[in-house]
Amino acid sequence: MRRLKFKNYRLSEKLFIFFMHIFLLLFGVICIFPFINVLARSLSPEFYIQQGQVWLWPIRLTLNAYVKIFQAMGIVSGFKNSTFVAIVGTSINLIMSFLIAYPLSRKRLPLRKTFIFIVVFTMLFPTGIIPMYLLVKKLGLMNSLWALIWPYAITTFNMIIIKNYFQAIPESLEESAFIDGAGELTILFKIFVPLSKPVISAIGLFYLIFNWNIFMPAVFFITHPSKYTIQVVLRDILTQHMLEDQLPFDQASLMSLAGPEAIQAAVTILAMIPILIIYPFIQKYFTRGMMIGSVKG
Amino acid sequence: MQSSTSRFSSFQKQFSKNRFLFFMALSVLAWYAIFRYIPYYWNLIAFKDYQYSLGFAGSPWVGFDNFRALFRDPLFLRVFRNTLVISGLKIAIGFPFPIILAIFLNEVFSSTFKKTIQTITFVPFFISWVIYASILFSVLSPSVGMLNVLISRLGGEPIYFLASEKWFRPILVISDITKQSGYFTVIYMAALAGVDEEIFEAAICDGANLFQRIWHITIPGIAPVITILFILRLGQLLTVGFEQVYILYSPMVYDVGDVIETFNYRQGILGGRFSYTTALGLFKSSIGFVLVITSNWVLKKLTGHGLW
Repeated sequence: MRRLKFKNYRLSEKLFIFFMHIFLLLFGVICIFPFINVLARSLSPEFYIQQGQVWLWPIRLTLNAYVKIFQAMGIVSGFKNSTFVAIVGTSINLIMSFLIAYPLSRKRLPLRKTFIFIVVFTMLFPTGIIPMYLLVKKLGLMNSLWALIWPYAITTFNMIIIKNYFQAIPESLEESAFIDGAGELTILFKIFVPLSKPVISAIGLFYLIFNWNIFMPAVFFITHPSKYTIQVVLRDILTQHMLEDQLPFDQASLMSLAGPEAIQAAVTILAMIPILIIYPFIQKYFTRGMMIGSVKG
Repeated sequence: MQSSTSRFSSFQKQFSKNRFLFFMALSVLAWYAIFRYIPYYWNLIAFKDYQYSLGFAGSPWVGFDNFRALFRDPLFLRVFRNTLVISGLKIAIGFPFPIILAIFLNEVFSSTFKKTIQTITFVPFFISWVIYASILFSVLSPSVGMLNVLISRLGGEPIYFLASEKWFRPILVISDITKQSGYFTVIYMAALAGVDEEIFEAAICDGANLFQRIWHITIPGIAPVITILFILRLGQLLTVGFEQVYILYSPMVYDVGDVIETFNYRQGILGGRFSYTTALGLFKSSIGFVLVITSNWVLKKLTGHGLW
C-alpha cells in the first residue's frame, strides 16, 4: 500500500487531510440534499411543503401527487414522447455511428483522410442554430419528434470513440479473413459487430441519456403541446410555478392534498427515474468507454 | 506526369478493391452533408437581408451590414459582456474545482467514502438542466425553498435568488459546479488510476511529504488530461450553456444574465431576425474555432500535449 498510516503523517499533513475530508463531505452533502428534498416533497401533502416543514423526510407519506400526474394528459404524453425519442433516437444514433465509424477506422478506405477531416471539422466549428432552425423548417420537421432525432443522429465525438476502438482491432485479422475467402459483409458481421459490443453498450448509454434529456432542440423546434417531451412539460410546470410564486397564497390550494409544489416534485422524480435506472451501468461503462476512446488515432 | 498517372491508377485499384467501405462511408457522409454542411452554407445569410418568403437565393446581399448593426447594438454589447463574465467565472472557478476534488479523493483513506462521494457527485451530470433547475427551485424558491426557509427561521429576509441581479451570476456558476464537477472528477480519477502506484511508494521511501507527492506525482499524472479538457473548454468560451440560462433566467435579470445563446434564441427564433442572429452565430462559432486552434497550438508548444 502506498498510503502511510495516519499516525505517521506530520501535523500539517494531518490538518490538511482533515480539511480535505470535511471539504469532500460538505460538497457531497450539497450535491445530494436537494435531491432528497425533492423526493420528500413529492411524497408529502402540499400543506406541509408550503409551510416549509418538509426537509429530508416526507411528512404524512402520500402518493397523491403521483396519482394526479397520471390524470394529467399533458404529462403522460410528455413521457410517451420522450420514450419514443429515447428508443428510436438511440437506435438510429448507434446504427449511423457504427456505419461511419467502421469504414473510417480502416486504413484501406479510399479518401480516408479527407473523410476524417470532413467529419472532425464539424466538431471544431459548431453549426449555427439559426441555419439549423431554417433547415428543420425547410425539411418540414417542425413540431415533429423527428426534429429531435435526425439533426442529432450522430454525435461526432461519440462516433470517434467507436472509430478509435475499431482502429485497435488489427488489420491482420481481416486480411487473413479475406485470404480465407470472406467477403466484406462476413467480416463486418462476423468480426466487427460481435467485437463492438462493449463500446456500443457504453456509447449507447451516452446516446440514451442525451436523447432522454434533449431540451434545447425541443424548445426550438417544438411548439405544439401534444409533441412536448417530458423536459418541455417540466419547463412549463416550472415557469408557471415561478409566476405563482410571486402571487399571494391562495388558501384553498394550500390545503389541497397535491398542489403545484408536490406535483412539480413528483414530475421531477419521474423524469429522473430512467437516468437513475441506468446509472449503475453508466458507472460501470463510463471509465471503460473512456479508456477505449483514448487509444490515439 | 508519369508519377501522377500511376498514383491515380493505384488509387483506382485501391478504390475498386474497397468500394464497399467507400460507399458505406459515403452513405453516412450524406447525413453530414445535409445536417452539417448545408447549415454551414446557409451561414451566408449573415451577409444577406434574408426573408423567409424570398428564400435563400431570392434575398439580397448586403455585405457586412448585419455585422455592423450587431457590433453597434447596445443589446449585443450587453450579452457579449455577460457571456464573457459568466463564462470567465465558470472557467476560473469551475474548471479547477474538479481537479481539486480529484486530488483530494486520491488521498482519501477509506475506499467506501471515496466511492460514495464519487457516486453522489457524478449523478447530477446525467440529469437535464430542466430537472436540475426544478431541484434548484426547491432550494432557492423565496417562499418554500429549503435555503429561504432556513434564512427566515434564522430571522433573515428571504432572498429571491433567481430574480436578484446580485445573485444570478453566482447561482449560474455554483449550480454549474455542483452539476458538472463530478463528471470531470471521474475523468481525472481515471487518469490517476493510470499512474503507477510504485511511483507513490518510491516517493514515500524517499521522504516526500503529502504536498510534495501531490505536486510532483498527482498533478503531473493528470496534466495531459487537464490540457485536453482545457483546450476543449476554451473553445467553449462564448458558450455559457443555453439550457441552464434559459431555464433559470427571467426578464428581471437580463441585465446580468442574458447571454449570446439566449439572446440569439429570442431575436432569431422568436423574433424572426434571421440574418442578424446568423451573423451573431457565425461570429460565435468563428471565435470558438480560432480559440481551439490557437490554444491547441500554444499548449502543444508549452506542454507537448494537445488534441492533435
